[in-house]
Amino acid sequence: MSETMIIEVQRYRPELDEKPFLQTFEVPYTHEMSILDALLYIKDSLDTTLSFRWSCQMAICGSCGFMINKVPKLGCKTFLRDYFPEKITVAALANFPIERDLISDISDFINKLEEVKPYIIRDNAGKLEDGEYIQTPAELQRYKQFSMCINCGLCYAACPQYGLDNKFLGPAALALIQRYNQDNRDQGSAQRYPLLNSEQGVWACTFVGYCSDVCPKSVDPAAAVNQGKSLSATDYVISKVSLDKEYKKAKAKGDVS
Amino acid sequence: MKNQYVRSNEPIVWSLFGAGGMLAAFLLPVLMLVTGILVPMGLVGDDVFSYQRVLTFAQSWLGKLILIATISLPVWHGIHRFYHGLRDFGQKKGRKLTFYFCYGFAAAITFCTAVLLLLL
Amino acid sequence: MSNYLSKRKPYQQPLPNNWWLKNSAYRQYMARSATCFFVILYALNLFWALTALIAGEEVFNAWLVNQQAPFYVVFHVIGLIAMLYHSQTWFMLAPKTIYVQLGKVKVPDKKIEVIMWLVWCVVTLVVFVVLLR
Repeated sequence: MSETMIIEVQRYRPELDEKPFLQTFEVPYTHEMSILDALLYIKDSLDTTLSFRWSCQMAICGSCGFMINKVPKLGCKTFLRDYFPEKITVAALANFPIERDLISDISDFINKLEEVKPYIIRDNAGKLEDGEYIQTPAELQRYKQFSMCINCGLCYAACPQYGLDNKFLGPAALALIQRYNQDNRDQGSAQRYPLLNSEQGVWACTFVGYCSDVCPKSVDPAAAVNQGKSLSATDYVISKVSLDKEYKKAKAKGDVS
Repeated sequence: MKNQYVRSNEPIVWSLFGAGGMLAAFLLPVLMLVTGILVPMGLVGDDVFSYQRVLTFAQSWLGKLILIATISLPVWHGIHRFYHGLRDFGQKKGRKLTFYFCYGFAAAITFCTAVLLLLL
Repeated sequence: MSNYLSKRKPYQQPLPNNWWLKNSAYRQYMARSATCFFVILYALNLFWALTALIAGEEVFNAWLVNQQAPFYVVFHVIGLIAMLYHSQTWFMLAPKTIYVQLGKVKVPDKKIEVIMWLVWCVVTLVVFVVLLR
């Protein structure tokens, strides 16, 4: 006796459709199946035209983010058994334009990640003979959680402030700023602070906190953003009393926008 | 298209929001209980809020400090939530006017409270 | 210059105006935001008391009598519940705005939250005693 389950999938063919619609499929159900398994079954056996992103099947590549019953989740990490026998609706991530079926245009998200200078910045390039950077476990802990981001975009789908105004840098980009600013190997904080300090930076956040709820890697971007608020407020005071030598230095060098 | 990142002045109002929120979190429950429920319902002695007792308190410098904090900071806190709440409800236009109206109101309350306390 | 070979037509998904009703996290956020009304109104009530105090004993006593009206008592009862909700959410979120390191480890958010509640208990007790002495 094989059980089945109803999956409703959001379809959108730009060359054919004016707006998205739901298509119903019936998939075989086993205890181990994930949403991604169900989608792969649909594509293999029921409708080969269904398009969706996926890769690692183990919640590390960040490709398979969907709205599953209106909640942002990874398809490979969400299991049919948690919904069976109710029906599941799978849609493209919220707050992003839909390109086709379950594929969103996340280019805005990618651009923001690139804008925050997500790499170690040194005042002077080190020499190989100087050896490796030493970092204690305590120094690692300062930023490690924020380094776990797999760029899946679920937090952007969750964030209503990003939904209301996509000029907001967003949870992942701001967490990435924290990841580098709190890394003791990095000397480029001054270059990232202007992004943090702006209206599109931490100050667009109202601490809804849903981004941290949906994050599949427990990055806690809400904490990153709100730690950023405290840091930004401190930086504000410092700048007003003109103690911000690092920022002025970076500005003089032309490293800051 | 390069984005322009201008330093926001939000830290000023956010710090006031934070201070007000802290005060509200620690003090407002017990204050609401006492001043709003226990005293009016006569569940505690009549002299808790006697005119003389409150006047003496408000005339002391400690009392003035406590009163300006307890009256103005919660307003900064609440107004900040209200202003951002309007945006959550979809307000897109007239934000600047709303900003000055909201925080202007909080500033007015702060100023008036200070003046009143100095008069005592 | 248009690329007539492209069939791309991204479908925009703007946030609906009632987004905050859509899931429990958003609803709780709005409830938390709504506590601001009670905070402001209570502070204004105290401000009113201050003006009454300046105006003299008779006016102040009139304010005291006003506070006994059912409307005001009900306001304060609902307000008390709202303030407790504010305190609960505040103590849950405030630890996330700072990074506290003790020795080699980060102090967990939960620990800071518990400390805040303990301080709240002390403050509540102290204020209670001082007011009702």
